[in-house]
Amino acid sequence: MSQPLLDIRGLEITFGRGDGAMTAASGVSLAVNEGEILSLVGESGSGKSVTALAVLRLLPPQGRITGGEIRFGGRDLCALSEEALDEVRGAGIAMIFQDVMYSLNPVLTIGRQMTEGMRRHLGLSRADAAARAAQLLTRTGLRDAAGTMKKYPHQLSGGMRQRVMIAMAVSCGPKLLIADEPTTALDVTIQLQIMRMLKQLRDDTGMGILLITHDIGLVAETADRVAVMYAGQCVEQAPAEALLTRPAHAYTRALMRSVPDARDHRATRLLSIPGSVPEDYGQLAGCRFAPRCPHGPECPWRERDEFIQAEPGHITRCAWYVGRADHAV
Amino acid sequence: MAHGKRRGVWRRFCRHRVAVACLALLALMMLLALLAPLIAPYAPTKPVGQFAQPPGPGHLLGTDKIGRDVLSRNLYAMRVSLFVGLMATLISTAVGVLLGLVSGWFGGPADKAIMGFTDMVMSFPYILLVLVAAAIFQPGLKSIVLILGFVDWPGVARLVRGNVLSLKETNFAKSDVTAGLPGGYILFSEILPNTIAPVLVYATSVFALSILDEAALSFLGMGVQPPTPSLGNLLNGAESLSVLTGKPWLWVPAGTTIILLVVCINFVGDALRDALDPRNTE
Repeated sequence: MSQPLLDIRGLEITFGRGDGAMTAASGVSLAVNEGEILSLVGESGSGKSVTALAVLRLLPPQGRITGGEIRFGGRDLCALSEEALDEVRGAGIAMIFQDVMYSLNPVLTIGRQMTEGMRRHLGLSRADAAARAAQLLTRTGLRDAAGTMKKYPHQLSGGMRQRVMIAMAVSCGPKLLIADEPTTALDVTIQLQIMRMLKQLRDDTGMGILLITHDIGLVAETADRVAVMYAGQCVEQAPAEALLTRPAHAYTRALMRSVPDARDHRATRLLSIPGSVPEDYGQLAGCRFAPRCPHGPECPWRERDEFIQAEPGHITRCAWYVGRADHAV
Repeated sequence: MAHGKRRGVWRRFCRHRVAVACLALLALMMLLALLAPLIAPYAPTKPVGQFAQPPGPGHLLGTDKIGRDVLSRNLYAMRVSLFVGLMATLISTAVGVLLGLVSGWFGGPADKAIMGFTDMVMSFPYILLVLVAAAIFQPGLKSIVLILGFVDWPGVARLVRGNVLSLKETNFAKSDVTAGLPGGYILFSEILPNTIAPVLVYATSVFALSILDEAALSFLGMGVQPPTPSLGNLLNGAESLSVLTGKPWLWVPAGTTIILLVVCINFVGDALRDALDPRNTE
């Protein structure tokens, strides 16, 4: 198998120092291959956004990468200088943010914002950059690309803005696109359109996509592979189809049970996972989900949290559904 | 559609009728000041008539104690005062914006150093600082512009720093960073335009303050030096009681001009603040 595009190994992120230090991610290992959509799923506070920010070295000042490595195209991003990093950002890795309201500069036209990166990274002239921007906007499904480029962000709807954001993110032909909850602020029909468009872009360009979301429905629609995060750990990784049909971690199962089903007319109460993500999860030993796990008290494997293989390509830290704790990977 | 946006600002500005009148008056005064050499009936620094003549047909606002035409002197004085105010505002705004941008964007030691210095300048007794500076440097037009420019920037610097601090947390600033755009571009082309409106409003109050400060300094003899007229040193002639009570034409025009200028600028600034606030839509 060829080398993955993005290879995160044993990533550890700490916030604060000394006694107040908190571990936001511990031992996170992920890989995104070319042309693959890997979805990172987890509830708020599970460490998925922090992991994504670490890839671009955009952690807030109090956060630090304290262990592991992040390799992109064979280079360790943690060791790059700021200048070298600026080349990777934009042209190598691009990012789409969750909040569409403030993702565009309110006082500059769309055209101006879109062309700046292309002129710098691709060395295009103003006219060429504008032509490419219009082409990209059309590809994201905006009808009046030329008109849109003359507009300001406040003149666009949320869906249009997110399309502009995506066009902007892919404008320099990145090999990897990180999308941090790209559709959370949009309504469901637009969500689906945006996701289909992302897939289409992936098919056209062969870029890898790291899709961060808490929406299992989106995962089913879009992802090739899924990594589930809980309390700063990656707890299960599998091809999307395998994960959705045969979830092997108690947390993943709980997560999927808590998705509302519109076809369910019995009007039962929406299931939720009791409790919340423990706050200082860096100190926990053994299975981090055990305190909230329905099998927690009776689980003979709750003291361990190593990965085991549930089936080929499907690894999990939970031994309950696999029924054994050997086959460590 | 920048045009449309600007039209909206103008429409909101026009809702303040007083401010529109003030803007017109201000424009008129600036025009008079600008055209002083053409419309002033006499040279401002030469004796052209009898001493201390009350207003009359030959000299509309009379003459001063050495026979210079008061109307001409007032026109030139307005020119000097407006020039000082404008230049001081430009300097202090430029300095304040630059330091505020650097301080807010880079943070850390640069921020600490700049904000420490800002606090120091701000906490210094203002008029004392100006007087000492005026005493050290040769009093005159150039030094008063520099002095006023130097003491007025801290407010602007703090305002801009605060804006940059919040703007750099916005997603568009972050996505510029993820797009690998250089810091200079992000700071000057993306963040700066977002802070222009509040700076503009603040600058109007600095403008008014500078005019007042120039008047105060010149009144105390530390500002614009005679025979060059300025609104402050015209008032200087009113120091004696006999002038104050018996020869009002020597100080009333200059005093009125200062009041009108400052009031008009402040009204325009107020209206501008309302007009530029994007939440203020009809």
